[in-house]
Amino acid sequence: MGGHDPAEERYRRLFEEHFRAILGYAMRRARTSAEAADIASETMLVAWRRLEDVPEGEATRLWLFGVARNVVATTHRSADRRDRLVTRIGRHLDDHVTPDAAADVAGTELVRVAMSRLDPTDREVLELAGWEQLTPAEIAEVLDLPSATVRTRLHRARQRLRAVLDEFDDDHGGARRVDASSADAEGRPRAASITEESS
Amino acid sequence: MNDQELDLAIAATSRYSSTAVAELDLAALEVELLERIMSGAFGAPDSDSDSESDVDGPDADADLDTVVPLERPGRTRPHPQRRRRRTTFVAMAVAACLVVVAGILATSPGGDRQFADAAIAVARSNERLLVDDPTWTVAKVDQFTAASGEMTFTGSGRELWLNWYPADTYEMFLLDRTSSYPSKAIAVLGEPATLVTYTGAGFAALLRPNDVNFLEIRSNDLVDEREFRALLAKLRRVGVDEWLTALPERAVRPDASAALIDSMLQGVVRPPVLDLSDVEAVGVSDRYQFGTRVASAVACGWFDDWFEASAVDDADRVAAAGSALRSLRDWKLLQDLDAEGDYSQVVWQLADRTQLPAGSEAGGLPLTAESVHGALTCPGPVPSGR
Repeated sequence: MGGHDPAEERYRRLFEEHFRAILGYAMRRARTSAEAADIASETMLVAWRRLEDVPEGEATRLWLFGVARNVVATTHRSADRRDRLVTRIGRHLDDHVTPDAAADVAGTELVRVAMSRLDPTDREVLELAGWEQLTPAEIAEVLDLPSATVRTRLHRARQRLRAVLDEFDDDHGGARRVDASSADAEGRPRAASITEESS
Repeated sequence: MNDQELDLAIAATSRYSSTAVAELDLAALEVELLERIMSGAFGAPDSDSDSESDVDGPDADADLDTVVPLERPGRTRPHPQRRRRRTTFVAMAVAACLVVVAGILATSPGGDRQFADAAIAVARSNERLLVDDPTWTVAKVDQFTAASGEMTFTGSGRELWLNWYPADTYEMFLLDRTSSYPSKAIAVLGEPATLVTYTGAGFAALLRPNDVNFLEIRSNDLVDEREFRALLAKLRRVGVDEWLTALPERAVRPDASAALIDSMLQGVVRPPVLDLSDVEAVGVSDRYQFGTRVASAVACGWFDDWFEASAVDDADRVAAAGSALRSLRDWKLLQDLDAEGDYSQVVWQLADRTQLPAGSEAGGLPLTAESVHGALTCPGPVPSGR
């Protein structure tokens, strides 16, 4: 494989710059590591085959998120129909990745349960904002929606999430407090924990 | 809990951080994957897959079409392609509307048109449904565009929600609803639909999608299926005027939006660049949502000016923008919105922080153009600065 074909050079850069972001996107949504590897690999395969459709610059990442999103929705390959390389990547993830400790905090689980009660469209915009750290305009690009629609969906989704969390408050007969510390050095939010206080 | 705090709580539910994924020792497998994709070996029938791939072969392109965005998303705001498409659509709707109105006027001598063309165009572009029962009224209507919209009906202390979602999300919704709760086929408005019964209380009815969107009808209050279905049976399609007349007072119609924007902007110092495109992009909107979009245009304009001035060390301009931002506490629109939601508090808190020294993290996340644009959902590109 020569290294001077502009398309190949471009794809190599694209792969290097964005594969981990797409893998992370997939890992946060897939049920298993193998499925995450499958989604990420499939997304990168699509990018290679449709390289002429992939926009340049920052829009590349959003385009890939859009493809990954659709792959998540349409890929239902069973394990025996999976490429062996994908299986190996999946096993590697199983062996070397452990969920973030913050994800196991009781209060975080409360938010996760509350998220599961939301409509998938509400969940999706909240996850794109919270997990992928996308702005409403970027979410609009991923979902191919007007930014005004995304803005309203985000507002509505946050309101609904608050309502579910308030229901939990009522159910537990106590006050819920969310401690959200500042971002870490890389700008990623640190753990936000919710503690239950009996009344 | 404000939006930023809520987003942080959501972020914490992510099981795998970007940092953890970036630090994975995966380089060798990545190179292998890259080379196999580029060589055409990945996913091909003769590759080292265990069996035939799903994605290759004669239907490979068809499969690709299902996952590749139809419209190239390589745009930076404003979205010229999307705007052109919407403009074309509205123009077509208005043109169609004029034909209909002409017909109405011809058959209704002297009949005064109650609504302006813009309102009628929006009404015509959406399915117009009402509950044929005087005890059920429209409580809220929001975000009516060509593909999506939301109506809330209330009656006897209960709510019925009508949500129009883009057609391409139908399968996702149907799978989400039917994978966890019992469902069965029913007819709604004479069309096939899926009835989902939630555990405890609540029902949803999903109608099949058309070319643009699909309708989901939900109630969380009803426990009796017969009651829910009786309510569905009362839904009826109505004409433009009847639908527009039924909208609540707080619904902002497109023909009233220009005057309302002027009214909302009274008493506020306008920024050098005031981008109202997001405000104008929506058809029928709830008044609170509409107000936050107007407020966002002003606040974001001043924040952008402040960041741009900071970047070039223009002290006078920084001071002027900072002063304008702090004066937003006196803006009647934000004071009115404060009674209904937390948007105003976010604006005010961010504005106060322009007085803090650069780089200060007091009070939460660092004040950056990105964080402001994210918090306020600003309509324009993020400026460089501070």
